[in-house]
Amino acid sequence: MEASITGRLVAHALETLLDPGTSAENLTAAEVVLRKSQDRLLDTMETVPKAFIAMAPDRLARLRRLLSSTPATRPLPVLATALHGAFDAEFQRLRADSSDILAIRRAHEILALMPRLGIAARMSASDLAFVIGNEDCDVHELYPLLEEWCRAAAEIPACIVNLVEVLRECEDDSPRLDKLAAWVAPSAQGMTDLAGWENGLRCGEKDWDEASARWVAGVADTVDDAPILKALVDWSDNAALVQRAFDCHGTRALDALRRAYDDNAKYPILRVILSTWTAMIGGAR
Amino acid sequence: MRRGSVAREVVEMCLDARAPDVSDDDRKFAAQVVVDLLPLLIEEVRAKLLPDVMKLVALLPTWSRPTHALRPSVPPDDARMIATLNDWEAGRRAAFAAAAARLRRR
Repeated sequence: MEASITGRLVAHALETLLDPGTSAENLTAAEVVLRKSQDRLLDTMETVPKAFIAMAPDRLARLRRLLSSTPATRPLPVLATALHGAFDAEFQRLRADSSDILAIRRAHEILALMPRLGIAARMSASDLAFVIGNEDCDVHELYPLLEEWCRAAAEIPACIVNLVEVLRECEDDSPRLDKLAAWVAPSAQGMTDLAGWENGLRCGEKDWDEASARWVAGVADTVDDAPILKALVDWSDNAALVQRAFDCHGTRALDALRRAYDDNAKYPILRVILSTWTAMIGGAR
Repeated sequence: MRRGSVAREVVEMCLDARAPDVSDDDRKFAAQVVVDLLPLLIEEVRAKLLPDVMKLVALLPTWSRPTHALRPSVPPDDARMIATLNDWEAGRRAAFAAAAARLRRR
């Protein structure tokens, strides 16, 4: 049976993507087709994973950018096994020679592909920490991998906690990293930053701005504040992270919130957020 | 190593979607791909292929024609093609208004 036009177009585009000698112009054309056919791309990757995994690092990066940032929800067992095998091979090369730049770039790109395919959870913590901690590559593309890995872990080992703390120390002003650090490695500064992001999200909402003005003036209005404070718990991704921090770390998370509250005597809005979250996890201030 | 222009090869493959036995989904996919690839073609090739691309897009239902994506590839001095695009967009607006009126009556 002759393939459909869509099937033929996708096959032609894939052949172009996999050809190591393809020019940049032709790659761009192939990407136009593949970006519009995610399902077929994933199906093909699952069918012939080795062809994709053997690509050079810059081509792996192109492949990653073709895939939706929303993780694939379909099972991809063959591809997962092949990707983990490819990562292990690069990792062995790195163990033998930590300055092998090709190995580190391929290992990074293979890792960065994993969260887009929803298959990051099987990585070992020490391998992950070793590769992400290598300063020879841009680690930003690996933040989604770290998030997925941490979410799936029953317990976060010390090497990953340390890695998250170091990354956060290196990078100011990354909401993604701050949110991850808030529950993986709760600290007073981390909770302050999280409260800051929460305030930033809500600024501009009429009710929030009016309440903020009251709090800055030192006036509490229990009736008007009640729905706003309730929303800080019920309708906040950040509150969910605080809850997760408490579930993972117990009193360490509570202490971090309390210390953050004490540190922010000059910032009443942050204090309202922090005290609301503290009360949420049962440590009313 | 791949030689020649993949964009041109793909556009020519997409034009096969004008055949009568092609499914609606295939034709829609081909049209969406082709309008995104046209800007990657050199001007003479684009000018040569554009009439057939218009014929392909014309086979789609009014609502599905990617007129906005196609417009940048149409020469601004080609009055006939511009008029066709305008007609298609007017058709889409009319289809939208009719659907909104039907909903209001329910």
